[in-house]
Amino acid sequence: MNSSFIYARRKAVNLLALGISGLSAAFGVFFLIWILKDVFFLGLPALNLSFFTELPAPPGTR
Amino acid sequence: MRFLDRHKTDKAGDAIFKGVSYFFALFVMFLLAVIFIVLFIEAWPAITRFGFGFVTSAEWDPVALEFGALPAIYGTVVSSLIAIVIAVPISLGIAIYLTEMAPKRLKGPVGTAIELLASIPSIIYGMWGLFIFAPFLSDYVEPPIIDYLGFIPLFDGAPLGIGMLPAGFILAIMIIPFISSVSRDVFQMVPPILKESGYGVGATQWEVISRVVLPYTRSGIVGAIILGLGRALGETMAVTFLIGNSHNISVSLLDPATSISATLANEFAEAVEPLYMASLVELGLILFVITFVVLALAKLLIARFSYQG
Repeated sequence: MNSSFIYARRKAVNLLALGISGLSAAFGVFFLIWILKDVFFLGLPALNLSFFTELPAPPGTR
Repeated sequence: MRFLDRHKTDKAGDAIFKGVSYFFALFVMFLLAVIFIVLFIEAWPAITRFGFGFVTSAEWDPVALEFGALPAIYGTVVSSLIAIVIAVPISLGIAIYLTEMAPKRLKGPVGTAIELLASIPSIIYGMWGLFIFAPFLSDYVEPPIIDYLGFIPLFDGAPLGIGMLPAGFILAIMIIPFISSVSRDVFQMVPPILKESGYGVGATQWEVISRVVLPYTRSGIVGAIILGLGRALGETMAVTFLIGNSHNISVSLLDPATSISATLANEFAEAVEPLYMASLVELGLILFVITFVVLALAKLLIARFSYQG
């Protein structure tokens, strides 16, 4: 093993490790955005004044 | 004279402060003991009826009043283990990214985004998991897993979208913010001079992280993992929505299962017979003991693993 190979391998391992840690940060942010997106886009259309001011309708009625 | 008076009142203040501090410190222990005793008394009918067999029996039949805790215990332990296995590498990666890699303008936003994951209520995780994530899993993720990995018993079964693995995965997302923010904080406490000496002898960033930062912060990381594990063990709503609530022990991680907290959440309202209620309380007692043992083991581990220089 010559030294330039060792050097290249250390560099590759470094890049790989840093890449994985960057990806894991992206993973966390991805799920946050996914959940928030769904909560907002599915939840906002159901929001209006009567949603807050009226009592919930009994089950079975509309 | 006045000087002496002040001395006297100071002494009284000290005594009162000491008494109050002692009182609250002992009060915590008292609360813990009372919770344990109440659980024990309430669970007594089930304890006398089933004995130790409660922990080893897989039978859960409310109609015949036969109760065994094994499926629930298994589900709690396995779903938490899945969560830990997924969450620990990712959380450490996030912490490394935030402390060593991220450019200054990204550090704040990404760190805040990860911490925001902790602020999402668990019921939202549960609903999102059931209505969006589970259909996604059963359409796109689980069929290929079953096709290509189905020969392993762990990944055999039907692509239901709910089950042990989805529950563990959602748990992992829920505990990632805890593990990563605690480990980020301990990474930041590594003295710069240690890292600089690593760079000084020509180490790469990863070599500094793996040979200086990680060994130095080992006990802190174990603490962070235990914090996450504690949360995963007791988590109720998200697990109840996603685990499938089936009192069967199945080797496959894709099959529905149940956990202690999910069983409690589902069945407490319908437990009319005293024995049914007592069995549920005994489940709670078991969960209490499991978390207690995990925390005790963690204390031992931290003492063992802490950095000796």
